[in-house]
Amino acid sequence: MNADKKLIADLTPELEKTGIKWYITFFVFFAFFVTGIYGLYQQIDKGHIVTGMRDNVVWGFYIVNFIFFMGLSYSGALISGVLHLFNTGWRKPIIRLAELITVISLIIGPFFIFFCIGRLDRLPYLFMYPRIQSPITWDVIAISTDLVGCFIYLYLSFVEDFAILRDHPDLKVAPWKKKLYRILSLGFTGSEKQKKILANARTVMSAMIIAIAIIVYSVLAWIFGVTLQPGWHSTIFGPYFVIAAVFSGTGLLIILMWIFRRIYHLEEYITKRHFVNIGVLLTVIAAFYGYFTFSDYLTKWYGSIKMDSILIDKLFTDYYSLFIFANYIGILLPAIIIAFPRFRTIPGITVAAVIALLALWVNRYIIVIPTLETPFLPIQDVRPEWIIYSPTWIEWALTLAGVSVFAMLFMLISKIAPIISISEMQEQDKIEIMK
Amino acid sequence: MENNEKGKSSRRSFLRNVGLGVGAISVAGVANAAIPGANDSAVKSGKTLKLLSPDGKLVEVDLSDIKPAKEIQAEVKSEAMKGLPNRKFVMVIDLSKCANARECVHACQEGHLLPKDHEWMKIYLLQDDNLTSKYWFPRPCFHCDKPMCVSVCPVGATFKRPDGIVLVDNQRCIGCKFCMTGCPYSARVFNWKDPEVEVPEGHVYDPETNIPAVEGTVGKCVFCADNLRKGVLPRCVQACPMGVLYFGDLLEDTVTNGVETVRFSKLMADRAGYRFKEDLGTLPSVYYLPPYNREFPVEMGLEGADESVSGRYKKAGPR
Amino acid sequence: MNNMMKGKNSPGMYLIMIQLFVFNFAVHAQDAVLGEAVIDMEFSEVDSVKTITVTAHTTDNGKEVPITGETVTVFIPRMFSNFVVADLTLDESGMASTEFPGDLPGGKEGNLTIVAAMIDNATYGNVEKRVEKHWGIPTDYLPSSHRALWTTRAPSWMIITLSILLAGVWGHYFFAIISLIRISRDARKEKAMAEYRS
Repeated sequence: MNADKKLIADLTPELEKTGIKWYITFFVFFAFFVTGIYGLYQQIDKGHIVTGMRDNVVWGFYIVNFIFFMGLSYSGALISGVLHLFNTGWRKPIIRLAELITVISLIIGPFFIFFCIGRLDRLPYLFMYPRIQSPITWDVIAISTDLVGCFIYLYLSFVEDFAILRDHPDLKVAPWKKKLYRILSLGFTGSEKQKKILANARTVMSAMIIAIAIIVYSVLAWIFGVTLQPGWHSTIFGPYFVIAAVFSGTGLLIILMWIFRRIYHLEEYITKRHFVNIGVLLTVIAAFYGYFTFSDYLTKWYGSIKMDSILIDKLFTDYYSLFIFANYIGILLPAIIIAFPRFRTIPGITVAAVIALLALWVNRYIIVIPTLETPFLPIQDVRPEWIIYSPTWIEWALTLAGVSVFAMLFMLISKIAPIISISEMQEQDKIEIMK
Repeated sequence: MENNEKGKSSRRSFLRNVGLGVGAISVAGVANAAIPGANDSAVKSGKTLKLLSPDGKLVEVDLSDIKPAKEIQAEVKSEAMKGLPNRKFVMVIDLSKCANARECVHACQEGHLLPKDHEWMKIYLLQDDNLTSKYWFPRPCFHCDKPMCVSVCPVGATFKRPDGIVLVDNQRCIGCKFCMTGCPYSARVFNWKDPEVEVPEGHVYDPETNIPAVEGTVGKCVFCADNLRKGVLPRCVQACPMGVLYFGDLLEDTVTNGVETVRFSKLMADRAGYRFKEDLGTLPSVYYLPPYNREFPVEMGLEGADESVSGRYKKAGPR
Repeated sequence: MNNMMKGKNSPGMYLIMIQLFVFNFAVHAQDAVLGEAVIDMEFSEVDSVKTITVTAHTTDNGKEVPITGETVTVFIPRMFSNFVVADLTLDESGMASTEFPGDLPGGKEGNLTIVAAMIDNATYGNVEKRVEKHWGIPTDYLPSSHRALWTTRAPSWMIITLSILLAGVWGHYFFAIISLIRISRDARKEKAMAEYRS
C-alpha cells in the first residue's frame, strides 16, 4: 500500500529512532512503577493493614483509581465511536490517541481492583463460582467484554496503517518491527473489497463500543447505586457516572494531544481547531456533569432524610475544599476558559483539561469515602484510622504507579504504531482534494 | 467417646478430635459402635485400620469409612449450608436491661478465637434525638431474611440457609468487601492482617464456627451455629449477666435467656418489640425490646470501663 | 430403684438418688416402706378449652397415698430450655389442674411433648410423666427454594437479560473477527493471483 510521502515523513520518525529524552522519561516512570511494586509487595506480605482502609472505609484509593481509570476509557468510545458514526472529518488526527487511551486505561483499571481484594490467590473464583445476582459479577463480565471489544476496535484501526508501514521501502526500523507489521497487517492490499470489509467492521464495532462503554460504566455505578448506603443509594448514579467518565476521558485526550503534539512536532496535524472542537465538547460535557451533580445533591439536601443530611453536612465541613474543587471549580473553570475567546488558546484549553481531570479524580474520592465514613450505625471507636480514612504511602505509591504504567504503555506503543493514523489522514487528504 | 444423642454430631466431633499427622486423609466413620445407624457408609470392606486418637485411645476403623479430606470438607460445608431442619432462629434483645457489661463481646471473642480488636457483637450507645434518652444497643449480625450482603457477594462465599442463619465460608471469600459495604448495620469485620490465633489441633474448617479467622476474608456473628447443632445457646446469650439476650426458635414460638423462657409472640406483644431500621426492608431476625422501665441508669455502663472502651462513647449523641 | 428420669443424665444425679434413697430408708426405717412417687396426667378439652389435671400418689404398704402440698411443674421441652405452662401445688387429694394454651406451635403434625414433673423435690427427688399429645398447632416451615437476589438460583429475568446482552455483543465481535479473516483470505488470494500472473 502506498501512502503520501509527506505523511510518512512526518509520522514515522518516532518509529525509527528514539532520543535520549524518551529513555530518561521512561526511566523516571519506571522508577515510580518499581516503588509501587515494592508497596504492593509490602501489602501482600503484611496484609491490607498497611493501607489506610479499615472496617468502615473498606474501599479507599484503589477503588477510586479503579473507577477513575475505567472512566478514562470513555474517550475512545465517545471521540472515536461517536465521531466515527457521525463521520466528522476533523476527528482523524486524534482518534488513534483516543483509542489508545481506551485500551490502556482498560488494562490498568482492573489492576486496582486486584490491589483491593483481600485474597488475590482466590481471584479465579470470580470466574469459577460467579453469582450473577452480584453487581461485581456484572462488572467482571462487562469489563472483560469491554476489553475484548476495545482491543478488536483498536486492531481494526491498526490493520491499514501496518500495511502502509509494511510496504514503505525506506522505513528504517528494526527487523522485528518489520515482521510485526507484516504479520499484523494480514496481507492487507488496499483493494476495494478489503477496504469495504474493514470499513464495515469498524462501523459495526464503533456502534458496539459506544453501547458497551455505557453499559460498563453503568454497571460500575450500580455497584454503589444498589446498596443502601447514604449517598450511594441514588437513582441518578448510572447516568451520572457515564457523564463523569466522558468528561474525564475528554480531558485526558486534550492533555495527550498537547503532549504528543509538542514532543513529536505534530503541529501541522493537531491544530488549534482540534483543541477548540474538543474543548467545546469538554464544555458541553462539563455542563451535563454539573447538571447531574447539582441534581443529585439538591435532592439530597432539600429532603430531610437524616442520613442524607448527615452526609451533606460532612461534605460541606470535613470535605469542603475537596467538594468545592471537584464540583464547582472543576466545572466552572474549564467552561470559562473555553467560553471566552481570550483564553481559548491551546495552552489555555490544556490547562482547563488538567483542572477537569484532577477535579474528576477528587469527585470519585468524595463519592466513595465520605459515604463509608457515615454509616447508619455511628462509628464508635477510639482509633483515629478507624474513624477517618487516611491513605498510606503504599496507596499513594500504587496510584502513582498506575499513572506511570499508563505513561509507559503509551510511550511504548508510540514506538510501534504511529500516534496519528496514517491511513485515516490519507482518506482525509483524498476527501479534501476531491472537494 | 462420649455417648452423644445425635450420631451426626458425634461423627463431626470425632472428626475434630482425631488428628492424623498425615493431613491427606481423615476418618469419616464413627468408631462408637454403640450408636446404631450412625455409620451410614453402605458397604463395609471388612478390612480395618487401627488408629491412635490424640487422647490415647486405640480405635479400629473400617477402611470404607475413611474418606479423603477434601470430601470431608465438602461434606462439612454442605451440612453447614443445609442448617438445622425445621428451625427458624430468632434473637430478642431487651434494651431495658443492657448495661454495657460486655460479657457477650468477650464470650464471643473467646468462643470464636477472635483477635481482641474484632467484635462480632458490638455495643453502641445510641440516642435518637436530643430529647430522648440514651440507651445501650448490642448489635449482633441480624441474619436478615433479605440479606443485602448475600445478594452482593460475587462468589457465593456468604449464604443464607433455611434455618435463617447467614454464614461466611472463609475458604471461598475473596475479600472484595462488597458485603461490608452492602450491610447497612456495619455487622461485618475484615481480617486486615494475620489474626495470629492458635487453632486447636485436628480442627477441620467449618463455616459454623468460622475458626480460624483467615487473613483477607470477612467475619461476622454466626449465631453460634455450632452450639445450636448441639442444642446449646449461643455464647453471648449464655454470658450475659443481665439476661438481655433471648434466643430461640420462631417455629416453637419460644425464646430463652438461659433463666427465663417465654413465648416470643407474648414478648413482642407485651413489650412492643420492634426491629432496627425496619423500613430498610432487610427483615432482620433480631428483635429489640424498647428501653422501658429501666433497671439502672445508662451511666452505669461506663463505670469501670477501660479507656479504649469508654473513649468510644464520648461523642455519643443524636446524629 | 426404678428411675424414670430421662434426658439430662449425669453420674451426679445417680449419686444423689442413691443417697436420698438410703437416707429415706434410714430415717423411715421403722415406718412402712414408702414407694416412689408416681405422677399422672389427665387431659380434657371442653369447648376448646384445654385442661390438664395432674395427680400424684405414692404407695405405702401397697396402698395408694396421694401426695399433697408438693410442687409439680407442667412444661414443654423446647430446643434450649423448658417452656413452663404452670407451676402447680397439689391439693389434699393430690390433684391440681391448669388450663393449657391452645395456640402453642407443635411441630409438623402439631404434636407436643407435655411433661409434668417434680423437680429436685426434697422427698421424692425428680419424678416426671412425659406424654406426647396432639395439642399443638401444626407448624411447618419450608422456605421455598425460590429465585431471589440472595438465593443460589438467580431470578430468571436476570439470566435471560444477561444471555441476550452477551450473545448480542459477542456476536458482533465474531462478525468483526470474521471480517479480519476474510480480509486475510482475500489478500492471500490476491497475492496468489498476482504471482500466477507474473
